[in-house]
Amino acid sequence: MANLTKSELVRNFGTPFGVLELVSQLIRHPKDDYELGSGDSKVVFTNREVKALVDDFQRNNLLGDKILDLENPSNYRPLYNSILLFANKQKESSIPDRETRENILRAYQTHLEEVDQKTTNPKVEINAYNESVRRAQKYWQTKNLLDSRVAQALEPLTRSGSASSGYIRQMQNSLIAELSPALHNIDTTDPVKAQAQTKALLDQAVANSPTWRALQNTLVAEGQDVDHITTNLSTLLNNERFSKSDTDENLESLANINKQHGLTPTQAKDELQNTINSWQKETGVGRDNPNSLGNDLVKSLHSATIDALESPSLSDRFIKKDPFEVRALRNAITPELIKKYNLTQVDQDRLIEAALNHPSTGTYFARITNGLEPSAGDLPDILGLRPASLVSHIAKNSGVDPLIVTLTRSGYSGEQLASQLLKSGYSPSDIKSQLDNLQKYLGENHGLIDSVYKSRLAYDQAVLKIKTALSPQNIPIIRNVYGAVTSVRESISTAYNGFLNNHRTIAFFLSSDHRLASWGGWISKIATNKNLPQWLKTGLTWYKNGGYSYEGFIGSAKTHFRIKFGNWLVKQGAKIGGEKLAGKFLAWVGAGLVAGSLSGGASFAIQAGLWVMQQAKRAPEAIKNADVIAGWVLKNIAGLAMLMGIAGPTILGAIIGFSVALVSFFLIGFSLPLWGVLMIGTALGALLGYLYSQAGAIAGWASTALGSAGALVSAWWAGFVNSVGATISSIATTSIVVAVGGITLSMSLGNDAIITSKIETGTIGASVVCDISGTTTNNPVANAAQCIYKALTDCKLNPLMIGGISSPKWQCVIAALKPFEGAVSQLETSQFTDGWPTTEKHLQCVGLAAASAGPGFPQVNACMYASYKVEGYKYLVGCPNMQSGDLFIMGVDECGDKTVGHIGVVINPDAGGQKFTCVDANATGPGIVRPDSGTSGCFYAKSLISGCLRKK
Amino acid sequence: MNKYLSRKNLIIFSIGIILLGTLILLPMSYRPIPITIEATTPLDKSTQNSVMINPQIQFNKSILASDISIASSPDENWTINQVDKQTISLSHKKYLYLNTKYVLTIKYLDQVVSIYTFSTAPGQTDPRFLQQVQDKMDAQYPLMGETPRFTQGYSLVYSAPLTLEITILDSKITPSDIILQAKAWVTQNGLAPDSHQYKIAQPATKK
Repeated sequence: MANLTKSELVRNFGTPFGVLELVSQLIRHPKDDYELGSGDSKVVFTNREVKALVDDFQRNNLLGDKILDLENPSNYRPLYNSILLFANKQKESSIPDRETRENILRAYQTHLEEVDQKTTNPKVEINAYNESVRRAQKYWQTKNLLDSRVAQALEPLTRSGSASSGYIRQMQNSLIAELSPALHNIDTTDPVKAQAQTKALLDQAVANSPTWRALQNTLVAEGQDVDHITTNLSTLLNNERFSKSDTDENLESLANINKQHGLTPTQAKDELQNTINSWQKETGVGRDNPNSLGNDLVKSLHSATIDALESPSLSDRFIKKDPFEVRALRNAITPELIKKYNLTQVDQDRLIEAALNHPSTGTYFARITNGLEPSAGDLPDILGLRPASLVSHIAKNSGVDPLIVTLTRSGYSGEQLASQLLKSGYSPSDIKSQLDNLQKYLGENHGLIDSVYKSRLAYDQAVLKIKTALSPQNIPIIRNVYGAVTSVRESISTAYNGFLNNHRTIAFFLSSDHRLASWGGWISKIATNKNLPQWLKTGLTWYKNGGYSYEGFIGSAKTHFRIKFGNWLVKQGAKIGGEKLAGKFLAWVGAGLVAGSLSGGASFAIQAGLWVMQQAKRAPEAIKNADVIAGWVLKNIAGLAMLMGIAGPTILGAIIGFSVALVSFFLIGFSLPLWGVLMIGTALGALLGYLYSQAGAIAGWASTALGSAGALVSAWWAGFVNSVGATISSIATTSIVVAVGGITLSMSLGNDAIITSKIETGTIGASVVCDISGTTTNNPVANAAQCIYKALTDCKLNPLMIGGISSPKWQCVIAALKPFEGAVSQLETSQFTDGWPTTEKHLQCVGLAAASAGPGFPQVNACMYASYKVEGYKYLVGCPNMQSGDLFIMGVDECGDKTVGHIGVVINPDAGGQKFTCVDANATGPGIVRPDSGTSGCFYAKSLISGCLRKK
Repeated sequence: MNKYLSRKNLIIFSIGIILLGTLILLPMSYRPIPITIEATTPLDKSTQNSVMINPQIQFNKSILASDISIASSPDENWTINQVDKQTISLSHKKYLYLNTKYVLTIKYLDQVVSIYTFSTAPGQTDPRFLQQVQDKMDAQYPLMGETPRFTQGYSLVYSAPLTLEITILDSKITPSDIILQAKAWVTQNGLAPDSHQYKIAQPATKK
């Protein structure tokens, strides 16, 4: 048997975790043999030898505190020597010579220094990461602005209806492609110069644009008002706001992107893979030890990144939500850990949350890993739960003395309670009155109190379990979790930096975005087709009377559904026959779903499409009147149309896929029920959509070819519809609309959102869903105000300038605010007059207040509401007993032509002492709507308001 | 000849008269170019101006900003800045009033040079008022954004301007210790501990 080699020693003992792993295994499994090394150099520790080793550690005082501080080489060295001595003694070999041992130790020390360097200065990495995110976001802002400006410029043409949607789309794409490079040549070192250059370069680009010239010729031929459209484009491009927003780092970022403008998505992905590979190489994570935690982290990081890359809503899922870290931390809590410590989902979430968010996490874990008890304040802080806050909350909101609330929660009998309170100086009548108040409050707030108590219970359990899990004998495991946190933070920082700073990556976004051409015109045509209501009515009637049920394929858990549906597809594939193309294809898709190996984007889209279909299936059951359903779909078409601009390739895929599904329909001789075919169409559509989105990676012509194919299929589809007849066409059209809605919804919201968010009937089809279930108020005016903020922000129209209400994004706002009668029209009719120094008119505070209050609420200068009679409202001086939904008024005393005051909507009237929170507009800058939370949110002292308008 | 009208005296008298005349008339013959305003932004008597505008005044000759003073109606705290040799700009810390005619009396070395007027635009939003509200918030409730504050031992809110009300949540800690903790927190936020009053909340309806 050969000696242990140097590399094997380094591999197995090269890190503190390696040593810990060995020691903990030896301690935990004293009856097992333990293998070290491999092949000829393998050493087997028998049970007896293991015991001897442990004894040796103990004799040399190598366990206990020292084992916990292995980063200190002086502690590590004797342990290392001891293990080495022991191992080689077992092999009857001599210890490596001094030089070898020193070399090993030196290598390890270098490694530690590198790790220290990377982990002790996280601020630098975080700053770099934040900078990357900021640059990426700036880039997107500019890019979206250009796209929307071009779309706005072509709007008159779209509206005129004289040009085909395909022609407009082609023009739009070409124009954007021609104008974008101009932005990349701007000198970013001088913002003032950059502004001037932006204007000049865009003017030049417009003047030299062959697309624009061709368009002008066409317009002339069609008798259009060319001058008007040209002026429109020029004005929009040269708008002051555009040039102002394009300075500094924004332009610098664009200039960098330009250098690699032609990069394909595949190259961008390769680049990312290289980044990850080099990170692996540098850190050693994931190498050598196949069972290491690092390996899982790398896999997780890689797959999460690729998922994110494949999603059109990449910026949301990738930049904002940090999926990697959460996912990797979930992996860090292994099934073995969960089983061993019986960790519930809540426990795991708390650990992850603690690791991710709390600033004292590091201290906490450090303390634990050094064998010290956590301080009393650590766990509640880390877990985010404070028992004392419950008493405080109830006392504050019920008006009952905190002492009484505390005592009632202490398990006292009525007699004991009364005795305590009498001793505290309460009279019997006071005690009764206080307890009555408390009982009333608890009764009225049962849900809240219940949930807080449950939180408290969960907290107690979590503390107990985590304390158990963090007990000294489990230190090695905890260290692994903490090690994972450090590794993940480091890896994410490196990967983000590499990824976001890489101009090729951003060029990938750019090229993808170019392909996401607007299909708004196409969907609008469907929406405005006079036959659509009849199609929908016929289709829904047919469906109501017995369509194909696919119950069983949709489970509450997405995994359950995926596997079920995947198996079903495999089965259908087998039915069709293994040799037939459609059969093979179905089997392939099904197997991919079961194995979970389909790309994230594709599987999300499939699930989401089916989910929406499921909703559509339920709709007629709930609402018997087909007219209502038809009206609902029609009203929401606007939202769908807006979304078309986001997920063009997927929609094309859906069309192709749907058409392919119908071919399959004939191939299999009508053996599949129609709804099954529709589902397959959706699935194939999503898949082909994905393939289409990747087409540009293969070759430029592929994109064009698929685009042409899409047009042909569309034409074929139209002919098919006409020939098959009204019934089929109605179902098919409905399905396309629904499937497209689902797919786009899934792409714009991301998988988690589609699975977990509450989507209300009134808002389906819109990209923005205002879920008010988590809000603290049930007041409709307060809810409306919160939703207006959310809608404007999520639809990228906060601040709301006057141009916003004529932009395509306004359709998003309209869809999102559907549940709030009058909100949209009130926003649209806001005076948009200037108070702030800006050249662009914008939403006023009274516009926001009126939109929250609903139809009929007049819009006058804010301070005038004190004397202006508003139907259904009364003005209360000082706003006594302030309530959620009150419209607070400021500046009544100074009211006049020169001072118009301010108005907003009260959300939480009791945010602590004098403070109340609110939603308002225009208080901190032109058109800005502020939310009711956050340090830059809307809050005031009650003493600073003049009064409020309250509903009678 | 009269002894007073001797030739010698006459000559002396004539020279005196000439010298006196020269002394009187010479300065009168030097007529300095009077200082005037050549141009303004915004234009004199203009309307619909932004409440944020910083007026600029160009004189007909070189001046020093320190020699210029402004009296304005309504009263405004103007800061006079030198733009170039002949031009000054007037800045102001507060947004101007909405829909207001400003009458500025421009003085050079305390001598009135010109009266300059312009009006601001009306509007539904009043930046100056909002600025004043925020100033009041900052002065009276400087830590409002940080409240309510909860710690393990106490909670804290504003009950009145510059008055923090503390509810003790841990009966083991004395009120004086809690106030010390609250003061430390105020200090951490960059304010003097004595900038606020501290009140311990009393139990309700206790007899």
